[in-house]
Amino acid sequence: MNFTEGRFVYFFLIVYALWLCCRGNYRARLVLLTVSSLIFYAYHEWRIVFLILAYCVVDWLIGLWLARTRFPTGVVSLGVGFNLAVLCFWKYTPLLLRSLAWIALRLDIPAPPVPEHWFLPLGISFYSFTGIAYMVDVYRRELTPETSLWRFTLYKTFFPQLVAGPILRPRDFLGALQPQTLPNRPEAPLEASLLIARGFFKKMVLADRIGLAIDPYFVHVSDLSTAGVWALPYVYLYALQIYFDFSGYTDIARGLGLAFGFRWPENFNLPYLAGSVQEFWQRWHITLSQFLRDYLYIPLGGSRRGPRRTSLNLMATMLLGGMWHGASWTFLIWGGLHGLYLIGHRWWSGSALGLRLRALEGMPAWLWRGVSVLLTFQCVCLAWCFFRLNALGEVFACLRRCVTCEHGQLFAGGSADLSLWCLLGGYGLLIGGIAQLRQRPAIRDLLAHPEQVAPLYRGFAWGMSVALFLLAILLTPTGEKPPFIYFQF
Amino acid sequence: MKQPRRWHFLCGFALAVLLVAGLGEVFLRLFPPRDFHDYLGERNPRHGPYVPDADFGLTYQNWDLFANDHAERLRFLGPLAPTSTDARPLWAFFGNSFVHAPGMLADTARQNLHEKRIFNLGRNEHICVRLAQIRLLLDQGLQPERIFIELMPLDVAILGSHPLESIHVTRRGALTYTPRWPAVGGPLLERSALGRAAWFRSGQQKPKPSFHPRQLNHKVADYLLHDLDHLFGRVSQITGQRHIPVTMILIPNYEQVMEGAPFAFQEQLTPLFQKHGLDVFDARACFFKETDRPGLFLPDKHLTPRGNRMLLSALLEHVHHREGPSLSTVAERKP
Repeated sequence: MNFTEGRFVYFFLIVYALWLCCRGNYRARLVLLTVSSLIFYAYHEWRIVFLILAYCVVDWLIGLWLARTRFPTGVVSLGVGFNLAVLCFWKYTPLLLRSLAWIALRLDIPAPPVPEHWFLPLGISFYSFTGIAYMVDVYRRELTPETSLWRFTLYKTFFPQLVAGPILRPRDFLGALQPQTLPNRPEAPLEASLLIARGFFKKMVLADRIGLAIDPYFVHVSDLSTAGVWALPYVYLYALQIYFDFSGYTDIARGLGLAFGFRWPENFNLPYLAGSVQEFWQRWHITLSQFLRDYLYIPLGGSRRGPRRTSLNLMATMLLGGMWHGASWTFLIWGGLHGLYLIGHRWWSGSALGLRLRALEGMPAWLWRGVSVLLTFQCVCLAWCFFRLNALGEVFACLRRCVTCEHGQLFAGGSADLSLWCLLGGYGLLIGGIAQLRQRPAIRDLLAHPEQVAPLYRGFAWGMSVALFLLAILLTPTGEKPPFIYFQF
Repeated sequence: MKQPRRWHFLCGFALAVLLVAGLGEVFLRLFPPRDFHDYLGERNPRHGPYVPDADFGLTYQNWDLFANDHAERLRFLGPLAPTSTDARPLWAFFGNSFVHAPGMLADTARQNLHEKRIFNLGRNEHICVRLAQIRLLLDQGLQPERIFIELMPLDVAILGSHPLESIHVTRRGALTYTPRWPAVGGPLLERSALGRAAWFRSGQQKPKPSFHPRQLNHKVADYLLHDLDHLFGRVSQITGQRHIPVTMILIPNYEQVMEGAPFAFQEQLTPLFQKHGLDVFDARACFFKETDRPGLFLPDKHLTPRGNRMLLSALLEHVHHREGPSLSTVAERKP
């Protein structure tokens, strides 16, 4: 099931109504949330519920075993190996077979059959990572093993964050599922409704509209039909699409979490205002960055073993991060590019010029900040080309067309859609205005302590969230709407 | 909450709703969504090549607009009539992608019927546009020995939800439909872009909002039969004046062949076409003779090459029976 499907609204209302009815009973809440999460997951394909249950049972048993075994390293390796093996089977088998077929063709030997259709279980990359995080935390003795299979299953499958994050830390989320801590009332309902409304607007109005405008171009990016059309606006629009799509999903997930009383961390913090790629990864998919840092980069040695090893660790982390995103060599290149960017940034930060520029103050500092933000955005957009397009030939065609175009083709096709740019401009102004307003004490109070603020302001905020949600439904473009981009992971 | 606080809350709520609604109203007036254009009447910003027409609801403004729109296709097809260099009789096929898509019925006929020249356009069109194209081509000199008009439920589905009387052509030549408005609040919805958007998103603006294409397998509604009677009555008159025989090809859809859907569409339309003197080829018999019926369909529910050859063979047998032994079958002609 998808948050933007009509049936999800009915599903959520029923589950929420039942949750409100059984708020006084811990077991009832636990069972309700778990069962409804499994129904959510298996709605379109019921057989995959067995896959996620297998993950839950194995990871839970590994956690219990870790507390008793004298060979914890072996046991955690088994558990992590299981998670990764199943993930790799479902995710990378077609890529492996296609690559073997390509090699076989060139060597003129019989090629393995490549399946035409391969089913990828929804969200498998996310819940395999939450399982790995749990087992590693138990191994490190940072967490005591969860004794209840119900609670563990809810930890892995809770529907607001199941298919596309945020990736929750076991000690935080499992800790909130205990009898004394499982929420029985919504947390900040006003904030929840604003997040949900904003998320739907970002996804249904902005991301989907951009997708409908730019997808035909990317499908034909290496054709003659798009020859001469400037590709750079399309690349910028894709950067915005993926941001609105993913951050919109996260907003909805966090809003739903708040509705059930869970407060989850921010996953995006204006990433395109980053002044370096390092800062970008502190603002983009924050929970994934922290996961990769804590469970991959630091165990590899982090930055503690000299500059050469640090560079290797960064590259390995980003390459694996790239592969996690998708089963295609272009995702590997995307990760590798970011690895190069991070290595380059480390070198630049330590250089004399880099240090001098960082020490600037006043207007020169602002100017340098602006240049840094623009440069970082260009680097990120260059990498997005490898993320969006699956064939290297198409990527290079797109990159070539970013720097060439024919007269009159500067903004052509979907990139010339004035309504789209007006929406984006209007949204940008709105976000800027809200950012300014949030500096005001009255607005901070509204969000932190809504019950203390004047009813007029509270009514206004509620009205905004309801009206924005309804407007998102009215402004959503029709046609073949793209699914959430990160659902493919 | 005390009374004044409740009123303050409601005022704040209303203020926010009005602000967002105002912004939405401005945006929708400036940029009405593309899927709304068909219902905006003269406010439809699209340009088109059509003018109103008593026979088919609309037709092309002139031959040049049609020819420019189909230039490549017309170049490929060549002269509209037999010539000294190619005196073969011409068979003209009109229909949806089951006829004109690459590898489908028309291409299969072209590959197998060398004694005939096959004419077919290459695009899915509104049924009224398709019939207007037939008249336009005949007026421009198309001289077919026989016309084949393929018809499936999906072709008339647009008339099911948007009857003939709702079709209009704007001053800019675009096809539009008269939207249905609610009995209460209709004028308000009409004036407000936001109200229109809400109404159109509900799908209730269609003149027949409860119509669903799948109903056509079970029953063809009376209003739809009336429209088809009018349209094909005119087709019969136009072709009859030129003494051109017409064969209606009724191809069963996937649901009818594979899922047991009824054949009300064929059974109700056959007598209607025959009443107007149109020959009818109901193709379902040849489908049900096949033991491997799944093998007749592609994943997108079009016909496979085997399905198209089977269909053509059955069609030729049908025409053979009507015209006499002037054609060998596709099977006899296989190398």
